[in-house]
Amino acid sequence: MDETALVSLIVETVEGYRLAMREGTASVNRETRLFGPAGVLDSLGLVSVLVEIEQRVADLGVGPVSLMDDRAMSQTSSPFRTVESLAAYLLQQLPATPAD
Amino acid sequence: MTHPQIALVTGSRKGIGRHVAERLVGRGFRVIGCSRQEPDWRLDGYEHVIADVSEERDVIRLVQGIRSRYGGLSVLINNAGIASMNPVLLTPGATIDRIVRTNFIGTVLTSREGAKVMMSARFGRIVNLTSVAVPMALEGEAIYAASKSAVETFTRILARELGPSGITVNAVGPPPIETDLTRGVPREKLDALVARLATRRQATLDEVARVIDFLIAPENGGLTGQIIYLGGP
Repeated sequence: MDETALVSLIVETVEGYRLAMREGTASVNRETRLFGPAGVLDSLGLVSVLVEIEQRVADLGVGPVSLMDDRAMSQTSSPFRTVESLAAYLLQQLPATPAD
Repeated sequence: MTHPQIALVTGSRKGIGRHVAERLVGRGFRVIGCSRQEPDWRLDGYEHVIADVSEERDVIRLVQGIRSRYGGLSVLINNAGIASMNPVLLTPGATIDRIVRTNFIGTVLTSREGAKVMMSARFGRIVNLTSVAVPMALEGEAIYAASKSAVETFTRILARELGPSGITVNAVGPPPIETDLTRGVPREKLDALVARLATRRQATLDEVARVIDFLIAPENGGLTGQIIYLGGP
């Protein structure tokens, strides 16, 4: 699974959550801030989205990922700050694909 | 309801855990139980998994296994617990570590993983086992009571974190019951403890199970963050 596919999965999950919660339909892209003053999610939303992404990645069979990090809620160093930083974090977590 | 509800009961090999597991099966739940050793009993509708709740990898494997086999989890009973009646000054560090890991960290890990599965259904019932040893401040049970005190604080805060997701978190604290946990306690100690209870008697397994029935009822979604003691400590 590459970075672009992960960004799409994150965007889809965030938009799905916001739609379900009736929190608006503003478009989400790789630069979108996920939480904090300019973020599209509150703390409950962030947790819900991360849990869903963890499970969706597991369901894809590409390997287990764990979206737990002591810096989770840090405004400056959280790996979950933006769609892009979350995708990068996920990519690091995925088991390396063996070379052919 | 077309599908059975799925319940996970930790520490279900014997005692309260076994009783609750059997009762839930009787009520139509599909029950998954776990302990570090194989149980010496079987029951249709009950499945046992060998897992140590204090081990993060075991807990993740256990809960993800439930999610992939059954697609969800409605009820989690965090019952697994150990005790050691001993004055603090005579308690080895390894024993302190074991009690805290099983009673508190085990409850935290199982709740964390279980709640992740419950969140997608926006419904869940978590019941943690505590003890009257907390409000009674029993001598000789400092480590056990402190671990359960941690469980109570965790229960109240987790209830707030999970409330918006339709998941309730409560705790039930029984007085002594005839189980392996109390079998090593001297009779005079038990009698003295029971004499301090409003009921002046030990509790029964059924009494504990009935409180759990109440706490997990789907219609009791407004009841959360509560610690219910039996016996009137």
